[in-house]
Amino acid sequence: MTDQLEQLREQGLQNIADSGDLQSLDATRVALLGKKGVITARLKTLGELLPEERKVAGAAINNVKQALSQALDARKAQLEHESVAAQLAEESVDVTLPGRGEVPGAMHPITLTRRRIEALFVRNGFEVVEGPEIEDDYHNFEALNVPPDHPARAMQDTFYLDAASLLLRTHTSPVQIRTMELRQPPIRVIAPGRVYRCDSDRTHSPMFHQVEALYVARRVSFAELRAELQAFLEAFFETDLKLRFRPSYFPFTEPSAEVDIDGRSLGTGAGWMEVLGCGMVHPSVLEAAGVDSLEFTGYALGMGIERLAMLRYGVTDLRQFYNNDLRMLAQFV
Amino acid sequence: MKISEQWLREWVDTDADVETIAERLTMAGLEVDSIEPAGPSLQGIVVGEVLACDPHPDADRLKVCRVDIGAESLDIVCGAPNVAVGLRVPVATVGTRMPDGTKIKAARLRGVASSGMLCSASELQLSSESNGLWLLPPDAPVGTSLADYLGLPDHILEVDLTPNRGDCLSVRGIAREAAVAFDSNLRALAPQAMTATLDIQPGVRITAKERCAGYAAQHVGGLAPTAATPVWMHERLRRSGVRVINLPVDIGNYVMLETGQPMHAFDADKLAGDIVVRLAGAGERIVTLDGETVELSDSTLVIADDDGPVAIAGMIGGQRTAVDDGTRNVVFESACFTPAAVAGQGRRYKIHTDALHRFERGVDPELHESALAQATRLLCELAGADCGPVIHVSGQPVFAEPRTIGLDAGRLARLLGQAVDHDVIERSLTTLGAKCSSSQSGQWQVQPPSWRYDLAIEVDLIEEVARVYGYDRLQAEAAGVELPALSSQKALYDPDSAAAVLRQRGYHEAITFSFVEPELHDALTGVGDAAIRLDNPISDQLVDMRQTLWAGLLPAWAYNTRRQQTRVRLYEQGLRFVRDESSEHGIAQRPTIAGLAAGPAEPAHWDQAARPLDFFDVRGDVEALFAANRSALTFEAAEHQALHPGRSARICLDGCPVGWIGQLAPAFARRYKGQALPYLFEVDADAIARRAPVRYQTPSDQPRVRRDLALLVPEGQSARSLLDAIQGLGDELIQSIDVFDVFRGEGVESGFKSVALSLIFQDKTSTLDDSRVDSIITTVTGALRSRCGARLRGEESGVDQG
Repeated sequence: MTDQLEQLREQGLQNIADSGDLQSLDATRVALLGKKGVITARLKTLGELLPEERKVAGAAINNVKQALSQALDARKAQLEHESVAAQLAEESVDVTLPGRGEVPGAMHPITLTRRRIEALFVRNGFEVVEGPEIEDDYHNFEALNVPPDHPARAMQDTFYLDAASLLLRTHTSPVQIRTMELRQPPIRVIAPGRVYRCDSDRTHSPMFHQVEALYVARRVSFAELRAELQAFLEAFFETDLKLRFRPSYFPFTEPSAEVDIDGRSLGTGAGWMEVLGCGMVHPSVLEAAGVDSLEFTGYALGMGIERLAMLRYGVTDLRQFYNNDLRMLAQFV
Repeated sequence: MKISEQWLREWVDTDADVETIAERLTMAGLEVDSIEPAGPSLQGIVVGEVLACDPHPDADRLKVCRVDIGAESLDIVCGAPNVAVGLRVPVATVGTRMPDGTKIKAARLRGVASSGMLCSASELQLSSESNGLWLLPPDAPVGTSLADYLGLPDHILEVDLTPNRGDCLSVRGIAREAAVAFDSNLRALAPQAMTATLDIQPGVRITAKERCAGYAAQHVGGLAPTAATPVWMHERLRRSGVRVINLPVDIGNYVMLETGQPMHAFDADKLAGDIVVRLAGAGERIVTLDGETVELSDSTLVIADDDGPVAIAGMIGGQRTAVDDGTRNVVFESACFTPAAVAGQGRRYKIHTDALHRFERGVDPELHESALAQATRLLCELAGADCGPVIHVSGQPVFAEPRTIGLDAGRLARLLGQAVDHDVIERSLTTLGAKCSSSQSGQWQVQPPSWRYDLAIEVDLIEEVARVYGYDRLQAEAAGVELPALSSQKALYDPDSAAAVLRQRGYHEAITFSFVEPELHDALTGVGDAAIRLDNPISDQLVDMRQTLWAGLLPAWAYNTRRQQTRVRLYEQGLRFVRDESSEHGIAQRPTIAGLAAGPAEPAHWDQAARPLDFFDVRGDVEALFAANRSALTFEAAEHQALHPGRSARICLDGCPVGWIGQLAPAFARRYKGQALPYLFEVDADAIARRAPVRYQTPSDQPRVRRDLALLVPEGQSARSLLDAIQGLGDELIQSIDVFDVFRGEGVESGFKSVALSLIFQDKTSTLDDSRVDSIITTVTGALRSRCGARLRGEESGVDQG
């Protein structure tokens, strides 16, 4: 009896262990513990025994039942675990393969620089204004205190069109005039954009970009221009800078200055690097644009965006900016 | 302008080294671009005299010379054709390192010992041309080091002068600024006039008096035929970048370089009668010193004699009266022509000379007589000549009298942002040569010096004070900013939102030139000769102002494909230029955004087969650009010169054309051989920016009903026409209509296509029942049939209780 029960137990445990999946394990469970299972059948035979024998035999059968039941639960848990693991293994991917979809394009480094300059000035209360690129002589020269045949015209080789009746603006300064023609001070604007000069080599492009800033109000001084420029350039280059204001000449400003950065403070080595021109708006320019030069003063400054971009990104040949090589552009994503 | 350090030091007294001088000049507004040595090291090279010169026993072209170098005599074998007994020449002694780096060694040339080398000027890098040995003047001291003899070492400063500072176009002018910068003395200009020993005086008349403030002339006669430009003058001219020509001309240039006064020398024997300063007669001609025949305009000032013009005033002399080697008698001219007299003349005749450069910027009206005295003295002394008396005729003064400018210390303080001591102001101006008189504290009447044409109004003086004081010593201080009212900025500046969409879709930003190649431009637009064209393009590729940005994007694409870039996405923002009578100057300058797409539809990926780009990829990009106005955006099949006729569309917003999209026309295949033609789009940037604020609508919580319609549609009917037919019903319950399939082929009769539409129905307030939807569908199918000839293919699908 006991031997038989022990054999049943061994056989049952073996069958459970041999059940390779949840389905066969369930069949094993039914065969062992189900209504028609072997253990259930044994329990049914207890009624045939004497009461004292029944107690002992019942306990023995229940022992076996319990052992088998535990084994079944354990095996089930194991099989469930294996099944999940197998599914996960099957579903797993090589995470090192590249992703799908579009790779974003880049803003051109000139535009990137332009936006940076705009953002810094806008933060300081300047408004961005734009003007035409095909200009007339009046706005590009005469209103800026450069009459015909003035030697300063030779400073800027001009592209003319339509039998010299029109020209391509040689600087963004005409936007100063157009702005002052439309509004009265206080005026605080910057004018970014394309400009054109009849010149081409490693350091000159027939088309390039400038930003002009103009501030006209009741008490605008050279001291303020200097402070504003120092702050702007330090913000642009994100470092403290040693600047030099060098007397210079522009027909439309007086006093006029060119601003040089000490290369050592910028980390580009010794030597002064010219970055922009500036000055106090010439009274003739204010008057030409309908602004009372006794009541108002102003400053103007102009800088080449390419120059700042070259310094900021370490580009050495200006012409690189205009071949639109994807290998160049993609670096600025 | 190039200036010799040595020459400068003759005029200004300073101990500062050349770098400091350059630095101070730069900070005074005279930017020194470079400092270069005036010549190579000439160590070991001495002046020698050829004592003997015999043929080489074994070489026809060589000579064996005995050369005296003072301390000793050397045997030197020489191959120069012009070597001869008695000549004084530069001798490189043994051990000398020549400027090109070679070292002179004792050697045997074809068996004859040679200890040194006789030199040409080009071997010493003191001239670019070479005609054999450099023949030094007979008085060159034998044995002296050549460097000492030439006045080396010296430096050449290259000064980049601004056009307002014509007064600095001379050694003396720059010395004047240096003297101010170093607070030191400027040597006085005081040439001693020669006593006239000849009784010859040129006749001079000025008829155009407002253009010539003064004209001085003097006859110098009896030039020695052997007279030559001395080495010291030759060297100074060389260091100033001026070519040596002949003694009278060289003296004129020398005086101009030193004082700033342009001079001209006529051959006195070639002048016919009196000198007249007058306007040219229209059509009058002159052959210039360059040999060019120039037809003169009646606005051009000339110097003329009885036979016509002998010089274009202040610009260039004429060939007829030019000084040459045979000239024995000279008339020197030293005059003050006004800037207005010469303005524009250089451009008119395409002639630029050093004289014109100075007169355009203004020459000191008080200078021409002393300059003439200096030139005459030099010529008399160097050529053993004699002179007649000076003639001087005055025209109208350059400056209106009295030439005074008011200056107010308060206005100076306001403009500079800082007060400057009154005595500092006055001293700054005085040191520059101005005369200040003051009737009231802090107010002056200032008379600028005669050489400063650029000082006319108060700010000119304020700048001078700031400059002398030192810009870097002035304060930099941010004051309270006076801001314009915000109302002047109605729209927020947001130039990049459209472009950002394109970048997210893989487009890189290009910046191409606004002027484009005419042939491509014409092929794209048909603009032909109506193009807005540059008068003076920099190359024949950069001529037309672009009417389409594609004219720049296509070459950029081609550039990249030549560099094996197969997938290209480029966009550009900028103006395009179109003739338009209603715009300023008849040209509309339209802000535009354009794109180009070429290569596979998607980036190469290991899990996807490459799919060629098609119209709908690029249309999707344009739709994304207009996402905020999507409902107003339509694409109408239309033909464009540059685009494939079956794959191009006009882009419209609210029915108004705002741009174009399509594939580059097959006609361009020849130009872009072997490339799949790209897709292009171009739209008005303003149209994208035009967006009204969102009007919010609360979404309905009622269930949505979807019905699909499978239609047989005649080929000629566009998808748009189906949507229009349904939308034309104006049923508010129809929330949206989508095309979800288009199919041709099996099961679809020819001449038709199968189009599947899905319609979404939704009510705002109640659940739709099938019978309402059914009745709308009946109306819809009726409209599709009557307006588009479309028939239902099958039954509608079931209800989707969304």
